[in-house]
Amino acid sequence: MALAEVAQLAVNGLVVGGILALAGVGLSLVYGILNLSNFAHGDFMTLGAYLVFFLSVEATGALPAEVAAGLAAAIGFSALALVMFRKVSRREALGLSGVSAVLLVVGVFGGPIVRATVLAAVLVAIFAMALDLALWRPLRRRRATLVSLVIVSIGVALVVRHAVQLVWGSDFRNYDLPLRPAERFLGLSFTYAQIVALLTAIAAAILLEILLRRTRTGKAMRALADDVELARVCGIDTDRVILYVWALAGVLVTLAGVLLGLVTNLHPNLGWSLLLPTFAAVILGGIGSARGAVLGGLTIGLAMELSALSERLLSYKQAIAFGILILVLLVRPQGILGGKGR
Amino acid sequence: MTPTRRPRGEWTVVFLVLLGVFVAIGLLSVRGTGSVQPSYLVGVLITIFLYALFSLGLSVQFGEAGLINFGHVASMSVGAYATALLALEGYALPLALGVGIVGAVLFGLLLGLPTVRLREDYLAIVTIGAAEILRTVYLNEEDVTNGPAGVTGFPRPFLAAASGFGPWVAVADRVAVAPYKLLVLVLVAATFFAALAVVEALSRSPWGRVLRAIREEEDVATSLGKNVFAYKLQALGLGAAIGALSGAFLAWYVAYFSPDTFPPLVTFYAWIVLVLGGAGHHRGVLIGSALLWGIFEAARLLEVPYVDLTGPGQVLAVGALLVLFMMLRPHGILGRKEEMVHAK
Repeated sequence: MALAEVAQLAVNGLVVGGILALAGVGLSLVYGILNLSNFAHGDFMTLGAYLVFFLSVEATGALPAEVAAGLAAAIGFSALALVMFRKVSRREALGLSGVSAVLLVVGVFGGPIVRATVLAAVLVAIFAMALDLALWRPLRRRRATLVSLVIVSIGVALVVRHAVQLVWGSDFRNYDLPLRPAERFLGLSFTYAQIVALLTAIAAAILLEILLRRTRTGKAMRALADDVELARVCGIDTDRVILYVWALAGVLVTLAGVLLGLVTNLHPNLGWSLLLPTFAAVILGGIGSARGAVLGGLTIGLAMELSALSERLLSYKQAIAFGILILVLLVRPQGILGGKGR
Repeated sequence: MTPTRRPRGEWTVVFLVLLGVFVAIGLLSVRGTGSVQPSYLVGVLITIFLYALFSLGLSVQFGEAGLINFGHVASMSVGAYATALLALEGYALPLALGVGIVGAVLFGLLLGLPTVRLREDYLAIVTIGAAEILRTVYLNEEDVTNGPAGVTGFPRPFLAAASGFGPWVAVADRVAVAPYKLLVLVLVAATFFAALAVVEALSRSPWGRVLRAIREEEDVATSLGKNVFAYKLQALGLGAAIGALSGAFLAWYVAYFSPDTFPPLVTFYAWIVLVLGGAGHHRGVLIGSALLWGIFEAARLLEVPYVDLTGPGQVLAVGALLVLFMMLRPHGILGRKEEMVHAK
């Protein structure tokens, strides 16, 4: 009986861990490359989750499909135009066309929530890239200190979170999906949302692994996370790769937000309340390492959910992530997979 | 490069800003209600000095030692809880206050020990987390802290004296402000100026010079045989002590507080105060605090249409202000350009 209970909590832990991993990868890459501990990352997650809510619940009907198709067409055309004016390479144009194709296919064939998720992911990615152009790039140029970067990210976090609260209020919301009975498997019960979350997280992790290990852009990202100056000397267009990193972070964090919204409820503090565990996961795994972030996320998620074994510990879930963070800082501050001793 | 000479005009700027905010708020409130509201204005002044005092603690930690504390509100809450709860148990007020200050210092040192040696921003993550966890402790340990219901009915200093001492009551009646409120204003302002004097004296002392040297070029300070770690922890502790003091005053002023009184936002307000005033210029906190609360009150009194500036809109505006200031004038009003933006 006790064992079954532990196993059930472990399942919940894996779900939360998968969400933390998705959120953590973007945070970790940005942290490693820009030296920016982005306190707004959690609020990007909130924004993504609420955009999906808006697109799939509030703006029901044909709107998202048409918007998705329109956006796909716009991106396709801009890719064409950018190639013609030699603003982007052919490889990038191919990527843009890929994005527009996915949008088109999902827009036509996907269910409302899938459609909304893809669209929201693109929007958050664009938002993250726009912030890089407006804030982070100028700050990089003038070699702003770590402190100023952190303060600006806090400002962005406040703006995003309270804009969400202003637009959607602070009541709990959900995606208004039909209720389904939980599946039983090996004596454990999985809610539908948990199954979706687990499968999505696994699929995303595999795709991410391919992107980062096999593609040129992915390798450039990892090179940057290792050593920005060295990457620049090797002829990598760092500013451009940094934009891709923001886009990737935006997509992954939106995914994490939607999954979290499926498993729990939407609230303006959704992402903010998960930020500390995400930071704990990233530092545990080693800053700048995507694999580390996944590993760290799973560890922290399991630890947090297994705390439910004790009634008293349950109210201190956050404190457990925090305790692990402090322990890592004391014993191995560079994290499990972190290379450089910091 | 390290500026030790303070330009004479700084106090003029501070008082002009304070006066400007005070007059603007006064005029706006007269426009709204048709008469002067001394009690309201005294309330705004108390808040300004309270946050200036609170931010002064952060100013010591960041301005002197370059420490990024994003959980400064923890020191405020420890100060408030310890002072109020011990006073409720029947302990003497000075003792309760002392325990609050020592408690906040110990809590700060506890966080500093594992992090101060590491990357600067680890301290930011750890402190922000610790302050949040402290808040869940207040929420959950109902036997001690009364949980979400909060703490009230605790003894406050000079409460009987303020309403029992004839001349003081006469003065308060004359300006139409509750005697105790007026006394709190005098006490908070006096404490702030005293703390400021101490901090500025320390800043000019050899101790402050070493700290600024560490902030500018840590390796040089180390090579000169200075114990960088110890100096940083001392600054962290001093800042926490000032924060705890502001917490005690907050408790005495509002006579009620709960875990919700100490959200992370309070820390961010202190950072905005610092950024507005100019990091490293301790008297700048008065400018920053006056501007911050001036903007809040003005927005409320003007009833800016469409945006409810008392709720999320207010925080949104503050966040935008913070980003704007960091992009356009990161050195603040009193600061000099080379102080904050230099390459590490």
